[in-house]
Amino acid sequence: MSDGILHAEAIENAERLLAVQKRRETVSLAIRYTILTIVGLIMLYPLIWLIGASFKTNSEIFAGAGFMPQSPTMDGYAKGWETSTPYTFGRFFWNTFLIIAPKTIFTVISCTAVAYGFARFEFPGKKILFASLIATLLLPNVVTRIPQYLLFRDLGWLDTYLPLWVPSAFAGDAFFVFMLLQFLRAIPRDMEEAARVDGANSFQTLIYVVVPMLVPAMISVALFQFMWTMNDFLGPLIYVSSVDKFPVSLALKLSIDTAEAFEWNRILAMSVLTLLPSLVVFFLAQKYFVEGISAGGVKG
Amino acid sequence: MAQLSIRNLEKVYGGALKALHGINLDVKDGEFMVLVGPSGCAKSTTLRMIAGLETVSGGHISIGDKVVNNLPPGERGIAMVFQNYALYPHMKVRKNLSFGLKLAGEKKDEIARRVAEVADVLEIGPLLDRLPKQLSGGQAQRVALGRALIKKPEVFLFDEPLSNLDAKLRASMRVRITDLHRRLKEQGQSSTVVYVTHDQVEAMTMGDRICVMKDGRIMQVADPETLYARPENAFVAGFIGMPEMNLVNATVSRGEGGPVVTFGDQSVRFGADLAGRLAAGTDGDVTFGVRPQHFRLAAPGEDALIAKVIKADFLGHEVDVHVTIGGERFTVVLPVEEYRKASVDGALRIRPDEERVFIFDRVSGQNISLA
Repeated sequence: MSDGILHAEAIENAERLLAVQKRRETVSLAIRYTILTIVGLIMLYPLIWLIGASFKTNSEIFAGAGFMPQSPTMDGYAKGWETSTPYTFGRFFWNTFLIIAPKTIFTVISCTAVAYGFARFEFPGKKILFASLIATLLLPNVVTRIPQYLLFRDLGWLDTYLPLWVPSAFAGDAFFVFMLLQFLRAIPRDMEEAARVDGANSFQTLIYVVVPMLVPAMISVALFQFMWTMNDFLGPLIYVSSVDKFPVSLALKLSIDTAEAFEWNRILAMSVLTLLPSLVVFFLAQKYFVEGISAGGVKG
Repeated sequence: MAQLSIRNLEKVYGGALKALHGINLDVKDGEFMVLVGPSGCAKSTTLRMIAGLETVSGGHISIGDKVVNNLPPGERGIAMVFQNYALYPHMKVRKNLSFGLKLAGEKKDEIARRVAEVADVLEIGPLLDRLPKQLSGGQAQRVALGRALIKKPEVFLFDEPLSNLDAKLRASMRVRITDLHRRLKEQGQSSTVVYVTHDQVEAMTMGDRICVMKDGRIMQVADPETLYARPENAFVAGFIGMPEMNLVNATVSRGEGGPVVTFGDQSVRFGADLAGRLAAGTDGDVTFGVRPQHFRLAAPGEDALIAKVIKADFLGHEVDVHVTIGGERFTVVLPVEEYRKASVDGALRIRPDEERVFIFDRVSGQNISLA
């Protein structure tokens, strides 16, 4: 049966080809992963080094570029926490919290309200108002620093936290309004119309129907605001002058300023601590965060 | 009493685009009124204006004896069922049903009682603790129906509620909704319904009366039988009925004994019936209309049209035959046996039923053979 032989031969050939293909795929996969791992490590190395160095002694830090401490010590953490001021670092974390909490909460509330207004209502001047909102997105922050400073000085708000969070309470962050707006646009209006037929007014519709659907986007806004405020250095630097009101971002710089010889291990140790809240919050809310920023994927 | 009246209702978009041209419509208390028409005929806009989801550009809408033009949707005494159900995605079925009552400040035990009642009627009891995303299309639509029912509104509004369901489910929901309407009516509850659809089968099977719309105008309002048997214009004639009515250009002239209708090189003689129906002095260019079902095979020697068969679709008990007569295309529905026997060399000798042919004005489309 020549047919049968031919058939067996063909199968053998095909199998050989398949094996070659598989081997090639394995090799290319290995190469790909090796490259990705190396690049990833290079990107992460400063962070790894930072964490490693925070356990080193001050003299060891500059001894080499390796990240493993020779004789690990908690000295940096213990002394760094004490700081060179009368306050512990705990105080500065608390101060940061006093800025972040109202800023994040009020940002979410005000931006949601404004985005809802722009997304769902027709009112005179809407186009102009929206255009100016978007225009502020393009405005560099630096431009408004001086007029803002003068304004807050005249209000007597210098050396308080008010200049840091009050603008956000009035939807001062156009970016977040825009983000929520895009998210809202992707949500069909039928549910809101159903709520209106059910007798809800605009406010009840917002609270009972829109907000629950908007939660992922609101979490993203809160996260962004949390991380940006945590990392904000210039704002507190301009408006907060008493040491007892310093947030962590300023406190870190404080140790650089006052110590005659820089205690680098303390600074690094406190930097690691400063990173922690953002990381923890991010990983806790990661699921919503991804859902929130991929606004286009909302199911109808 | 929950009759709905619409007077000179207009909708203008952006000051220029007129979507609704001053329509008048009365829906009696307890009546099932279907708004039907092709897409873009403003039937949904009309419904949304009744609901209060669109502003009124002109005219009046009244429910019962109060004008509701400026009332918010919640105070109009209406409930609405949406095409894509529009259930609140984060609320369980139970909360979806009770949301309206809760907003109205209804007491807890009253809400629980009404939820149980509605769940019983619609057989959604086992679904009460599910989220909308855990429901199938048919279940979701029943919940949406329940959300309307629980409010005991004066007028029910349906916006193409069945178009997201598959054909089989659609048929059973159709029966369910008409059943429900009948039951409400028997119990003496308000059961006025305005139902929007683009599906003429839905319209014909569900409506007490049907309002056919086109381009923001009402073409005819009548019960299903009248709509089918006595269409007021060519649009209604073509819109209602499956397969579509044949509407072809023709000329009418007076012959001995009755009018003669000519298309291309063929003509057919009619008698006293059509002569009596036709408005006096009707001559010349018209649109001739006859439903595919209203042709019959001509008896030997009888005046007949010679139809050239292009294609025949077998549907089991009958055949849709696509033919040309005098250069005009027609569809003819014949029983399978008759078609087999009668088809000679790809041609049929057929005659339209005289009592069921219509003559429409070529320009205005008005039916001039109704009298």
